Parts: sequence; structure tokens; C-alpha cells
Amino acid sequence: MIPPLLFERTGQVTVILQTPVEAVPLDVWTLFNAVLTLVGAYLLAQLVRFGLSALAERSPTRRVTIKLFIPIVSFIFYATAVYIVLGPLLQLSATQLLAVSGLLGAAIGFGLKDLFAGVIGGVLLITERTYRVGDKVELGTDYGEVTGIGLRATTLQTADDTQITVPNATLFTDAVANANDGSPEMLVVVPVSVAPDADLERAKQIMREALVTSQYVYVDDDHPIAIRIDDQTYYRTVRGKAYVADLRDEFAFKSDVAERVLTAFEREGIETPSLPPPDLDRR
Amino acid sequence: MDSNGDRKQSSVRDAVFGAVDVETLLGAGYDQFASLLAREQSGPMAVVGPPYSGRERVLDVATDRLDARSVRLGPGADGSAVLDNLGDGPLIVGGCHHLYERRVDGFDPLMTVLDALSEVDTTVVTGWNSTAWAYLDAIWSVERSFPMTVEIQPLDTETITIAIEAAGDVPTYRRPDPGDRPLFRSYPIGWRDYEIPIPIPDRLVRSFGTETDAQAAVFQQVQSVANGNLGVADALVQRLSGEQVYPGDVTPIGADLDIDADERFALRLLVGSELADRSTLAEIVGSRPEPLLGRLAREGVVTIDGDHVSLEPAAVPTATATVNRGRIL
Repeated sequence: MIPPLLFERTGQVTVILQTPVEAVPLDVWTLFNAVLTLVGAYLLAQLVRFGLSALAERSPTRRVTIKLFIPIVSFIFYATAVYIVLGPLLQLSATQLLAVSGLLGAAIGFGLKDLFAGVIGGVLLITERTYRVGDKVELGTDYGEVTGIGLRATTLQTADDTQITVPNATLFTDAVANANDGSPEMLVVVPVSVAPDADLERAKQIMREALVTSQYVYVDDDHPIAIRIDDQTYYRTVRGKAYVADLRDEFAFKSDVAERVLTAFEREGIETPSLPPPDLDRR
Repeated sequence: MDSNGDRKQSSVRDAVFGAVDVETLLGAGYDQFASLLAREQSGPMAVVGPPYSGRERVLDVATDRLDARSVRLGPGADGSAVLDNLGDGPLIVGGCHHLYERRVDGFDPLMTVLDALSEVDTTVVTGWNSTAWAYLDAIWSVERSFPMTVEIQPLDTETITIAIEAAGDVPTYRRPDPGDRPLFRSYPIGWRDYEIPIPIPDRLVRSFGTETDAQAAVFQQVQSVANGNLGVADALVQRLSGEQVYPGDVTPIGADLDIDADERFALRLLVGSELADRSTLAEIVGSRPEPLLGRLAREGVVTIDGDHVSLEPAAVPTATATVNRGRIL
């Protein structure tokens, strides 16, 4: 029988030689078990994803909170499966561990840097909750609703129903703008421009009434309505700010309010800006 | 009885409110109302309540006790009826939620009346739909215009039972023949936004035993479905009249309603107004009125009478739940 540790003194240095770990045979049965474990984790993750998504859609007020658990549970399932599969295989000796670490470091450094950064970003997203599934976020130049947070990338659904996959590493390089931060309500700004000589008071009143009469609006003490005026060189912009009850109604709300405001402006003769004359002195 | 399939029109009988005194309807707010009737206080008062919950009963009592002039507003009201009668002694105004329409330029009559009320020191008792009131308070802080506000309270099972029985024409509570008995009956169990139909073996249902017990169980279900709203409760019971009834038979109209966003908004407008102009409703919702209202009418949720559309009393629980789920202000 081989003793567990061998000590060999050579001059000033004591070298500790670890016994070889009993290897797990890499046979068909082992591979089958590994695949079975990974498939099981995938099926469980999909089942939980389906169940939580269905539950979330039935409760508009708690949709974002419920969906928050989807990536967390998926991560736990996959991490457990990977541990079960690789745990017995990677019982490495110190020398082997050193060699593997070196190789891993080189691989990450040269080829898998982005993937690794994405994975770290994914872990940070899950732990720090920078944004959650269901949030409306701007990642780099992309804006949309977060429909999935994976270990490597985040999926966004844009206003024109396009699915965009954004690497989680974006978290380290770009600013992340979260429009609702886990809340189902969301502030929406509706800008409508008027001519410089238009009746601003009347324009503000129309904007306000268009906001509060929309079927999508949400108003209470914590979610007030505001009207702001931006004075530009050739026009003025009336900005209506109000919350929608469900962030998915953001674009429907903007369209609804803008349409009714413009209709009322036209009816009341409130002019929208025309282009500046070509010979305008721009000094 | 198959109450789900029964699309007959529901109604609220005025007589059902006769057995309920105003003190019960207003609960803790009655003291304020009583002091107004005793002329210890004056100024505008808002009586706020859900559709068909007994606001009119409160306003009628105020009219009698104050010997006041009475005005009832309907769809399209411009407020002139209120302004013309303001300042000449006590005034009772019902249907104040008709003073606005949910559209651009739809608030002018309301603002005119609120401005006039702010300068009045005589007694003015106004009736408001609670959904409309909540909306107006959120966007215009309408409650600030009323130094006194009282709300219609949900009634308990006993009060509802007494009121409906006093009005007569109550259902026959009988156990059905064994051959007609279903194996299971569905009971909705609600928690927050969720409602899950729980199948209960009929054997348990029959364990209610005597007819009196069965009646109590039915009225408990009526109170629960109607959320203590007497008018709605009466409409629910009227749908069961002359039949053998189980608690599970007490279901609101449109319990299996599946509607789109426009229909949901139309329902919200009707929950807040109870009665609306067909053309105005279509204009606000922005859809063609025929398909939208026709579908709601087929489901029995609304009644169309000429140019007027009204919310069915027995559909109030469904409509309210639908609107709340959609979080429409």
C-alpha cells in the first residue's frame, strides 16, 4: 500500500510528494452519467423557468420580482450539475492543479478572456442585481426589456420585437441604465415640440390631460405627473412625464399620448415647429 | 342551476336598501353625516361608494332630512344643473362622476363645479362612484375640495341576508335530487391577485345539512363574491331565484371573461361611471363600438339601451377584478 504522503529532504528544501489520487475511469458509463446529469439540470432549469414565467405573467405587480429568481435558480442547477460531473474528475494533485491553473490562465488570457469576463459579469449580475429579468435597461447602445440573464450574456427584447444578446462583460465597459429597477411602474417621457409663439400654457394643459386620461397611466403620491418645457432656438418642447402601470406599455403609452396631444394641438391651432429658413443667420 | 350559462339581465331592487339604515351603510362615517343632517356642519360633503352599493339611499335620506333640492347627473352632464341650484339652501347632487369624461378637454365641467363648490358655505351633499373618485383624487386631488367625505362600507352576511329577504322573492334553498348531484363543485379560493378554483366533493357540500344551513352558506358566498356590496349581492341572488342553489352557484356574470386591452379599458370606464354614452365610450376607447360593446353585451357584462351602455350589477365583481388586475387607474 502506498503511504498517503512522502517527504524527501534535499538540502534546504523539503519536497512534499502527494500520492496519486485514484482516478475516475473515463468510460462510457461515466460519460453517460455526466450527460444525464447535465440534461437533468437543463430540464429542471427549463421547468422552473416555465413555471416561474407563467406565475410571473399572472401577477403584473410582482412579475419582475418573480422573474428575478429564474437566473438564480438556473445558475444553482447548472453549477450543481457541473460540480457533480467535474468534481470526481478534477481531484487533482498539487502538481496537476498547478499545471491546469497555468493552462487555464493562458487560455483565459489569450482565447477565453471575453467568455470569462461574461461569466464573471453574469455572476455579478445575479449577486448584485444591477438589473433583473423584466427590467427595461440600456446596455451600451441597446435598449429593451431584459428577457433572460445567462451566465455569459443577457437577452434584450427591443421595441421592434428583436431579441438582442448582449455579453455580460458589457457591465465592465459600458454604463448600464435601468429604467425601472425592479418595479413594474416606469417613468415615460413624451416630448412634443411646438412653435416658439405657440400658447405654452394651453399646450401644457393639453399634455397634462392627455397623460392623465391614458389607459396606461399610473399616478399616486410616489408616481406624480410633471410637465417640463425645453426652450430651443427654433422651437419649444413640451415634455410630459408620467408613469405607466406596466413597463411593457411604455411605447403604447408614448404613442397614445403623442397622438392625442397632436390631435388637440391641431384642433386648437397650436402650431408645431417648421424648419428654420435656409438663409437663417446662425451666428 | 347553471348560473355560468345564465345570461339573464341582473338588476338591483330599490326595496333591498329599505331594510338597511344609513348608519349601517356609512359605518364610522355616519357621525359626520349625522352632524351634517343636524346642521351642525355645512359645506360640501362627498358620499363615495362602489357601483350599486347604496349611495342613492344615502342621498335620498339627506334630501328628506335636509328638505333639500335634488339633482341627479347623467352621462354628458355639463354641470349647469348644479351651478343653477347652488347657493339657495341645501343641495343634493347624485352622479357627480358624470361631470368628467376621460379625454382631453373632458374635465371642464368638473373643474367649474369644484371651483363653485369651493366658495359655497351651504350644505351640498354629492354622490361619487368610488373608482371615479380614486382616479380624480390621484390626478386632481379632488378630496381637497370636500372638507367632509364619507364612504359606503361593505356589509356583513347577516345584514345582506336580512335586506334581501326583506325585499322578498328569495331563492328556494333545497338540496337537489341525488341524480342531479355533481361529483365535484368548484370553489374559488382567492389570495392577493390569484384565484384558484378548488374542486370540493359534493358530499362535503351536502353536509350543509338543513336548508337553513344551506341558505346561510349561500349568503356567505353572496357576501364574499359581492364584497359586501348590497346592490351587487341582490343582483347575484336574483339570478338564482326559484332554483335549487348551492354556494358554488353564486358566481358573478362574466366569471370566465377573456378580454383584450380595449375591452378592459371600456370596462374600467363603466366601472367608474356605471352608465355611459355609447358614442362617448367608443370615442374614448378609440375602437369601433359595435364589436367591442357587442362582445361585452353578449357576455352579459353590460346592457345596451339605445345610446346608453350600463354595467350589469351582477358583473361588478368580475369587472372590478379585471380592471384591478390590469392596474388601470
